[in-house]
Amino acid sequence: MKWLIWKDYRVNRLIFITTLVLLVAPHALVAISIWRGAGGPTSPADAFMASSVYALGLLQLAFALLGGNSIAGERIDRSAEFLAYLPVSRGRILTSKLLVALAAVPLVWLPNLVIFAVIYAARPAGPTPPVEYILCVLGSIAITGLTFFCVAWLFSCMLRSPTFSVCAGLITPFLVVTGICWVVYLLKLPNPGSPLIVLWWYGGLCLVISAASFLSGALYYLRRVEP
Amino acid sequence: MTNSSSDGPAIELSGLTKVFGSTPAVDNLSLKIDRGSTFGLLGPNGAGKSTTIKMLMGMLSITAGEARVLGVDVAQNATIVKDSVGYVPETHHIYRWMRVGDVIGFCRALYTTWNDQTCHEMVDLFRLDLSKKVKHLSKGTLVKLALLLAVSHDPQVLVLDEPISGLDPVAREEFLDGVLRTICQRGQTVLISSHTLDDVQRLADTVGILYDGRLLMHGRLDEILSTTKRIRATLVDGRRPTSLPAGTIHDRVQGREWLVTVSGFQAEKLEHVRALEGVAHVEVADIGLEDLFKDIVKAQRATT
Repeated sequence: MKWLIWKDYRVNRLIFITTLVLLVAPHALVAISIWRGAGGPTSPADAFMASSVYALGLLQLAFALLGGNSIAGERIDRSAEFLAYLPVSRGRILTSKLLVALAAVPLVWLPNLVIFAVIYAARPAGPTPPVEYILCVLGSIAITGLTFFCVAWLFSCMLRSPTFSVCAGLITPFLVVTGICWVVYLLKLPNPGSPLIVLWWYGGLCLVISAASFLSGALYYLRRVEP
Repeated sequence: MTNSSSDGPAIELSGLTKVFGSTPAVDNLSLKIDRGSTFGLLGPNGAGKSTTIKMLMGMLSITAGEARVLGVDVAQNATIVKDSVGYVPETHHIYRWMRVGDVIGFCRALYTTWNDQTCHEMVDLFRLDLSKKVKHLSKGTLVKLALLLAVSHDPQVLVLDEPISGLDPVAREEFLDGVLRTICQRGQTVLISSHTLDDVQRLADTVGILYDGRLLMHGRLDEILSTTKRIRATLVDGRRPTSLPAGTIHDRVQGREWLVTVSGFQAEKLEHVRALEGVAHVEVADIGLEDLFKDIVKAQRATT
């Protein structure tokens, strides 16, 4: 399993390097702008909190890339055909790919959450966003990343185009939001009053889509004979 | 059955069928390859050789029938089959970014019976540079690496799917030396599919000819070649006689010469040709595998 994980890491190395760049870039930009005195009226603490959330949102792209590249990436360069005649079960192949994708979770989330939490706790007294609001934002970012990954994974398991798989993953949350808006509009539902209710709908739908996509993708790949 | 049995044929295909859309690529193919034999699978392009081999290797789903390798059902236990079979494909898709040493390490970790000594011997034999990246290897070296990976886990069955197509004569010779060495040292069962019939004739003791997914001929190569002859007759007026001897595979007229390829050759067949009207002179010649193959394929094309 060690060699399989190494191979999958190596296949996705460019995505991990991009993730690291995207992890550092927003904070570096904020640091540079503060150092050059271009921060404007925003305090450095607020700027870094914002850059953490911004980086988190941006880094969810990595999950779409990892999901979309997982199987289709090896189909398109036909290296999947090499793996297909080696004595390794489909279950082990999937597990290795999943473990590599899971390794991106702490890489993406931990640094940003730590920066956010430290600054949130240490910032001077003043108006602070409520914890529910922060959790809601972080939750929707997490669910969006999960949907990116799972839908891209589904298409990656079925097709040989990583680009199409990544795009399918990226577009799904937007389709869900659009779908919710259309339902509300067409059914002439009353104003839900709180955006939290819409977010609950969004989160719920995305979770169902993610679970269904991940399971169907995995089952399809496990049952398939061809690489 | 989950474990490979120690008796019975090395490879057994029963009614193996593969249909793409509505086109059968392999049609009800039944075949047994004995342990320790070297089987040459011949056929023109599109005959279904690679499709058969891919089904055998568990890389392609089987529409109908059954494929067993060392007694193990490929459809049920593909991983067990892959562990006991060495495979050299026609085209190589080994991870291009890996170094030769990485590829060996990667495969070593996946096979349960990897033999470091065999691997080192093959590295020395083929003079492989372990630090070189796969993408920088020549086609000949890539094929040698593929053979090294195929034999280093001491497989009981070696499957070679047109492994030497596109190789220069020196690389081809070195590759075949490696295969011969494996056959001689370990007595493995070898299934080789190739268009280079001279090489098949050199390696194989049994052959099968596939055409349109169907097995046209199957048997021991020496028996086939000893009982199949080419009758060369001179025609008086250059007109092809209407009566053909029994067992005629293919016949053609070139000027005043009539060439008849006959299976199951016996003296009576020669007498039959001699007795035909318009035949002046008759002689019998041995036929090589390549000519026999060409005649069988031409005869099939003429009937379809």
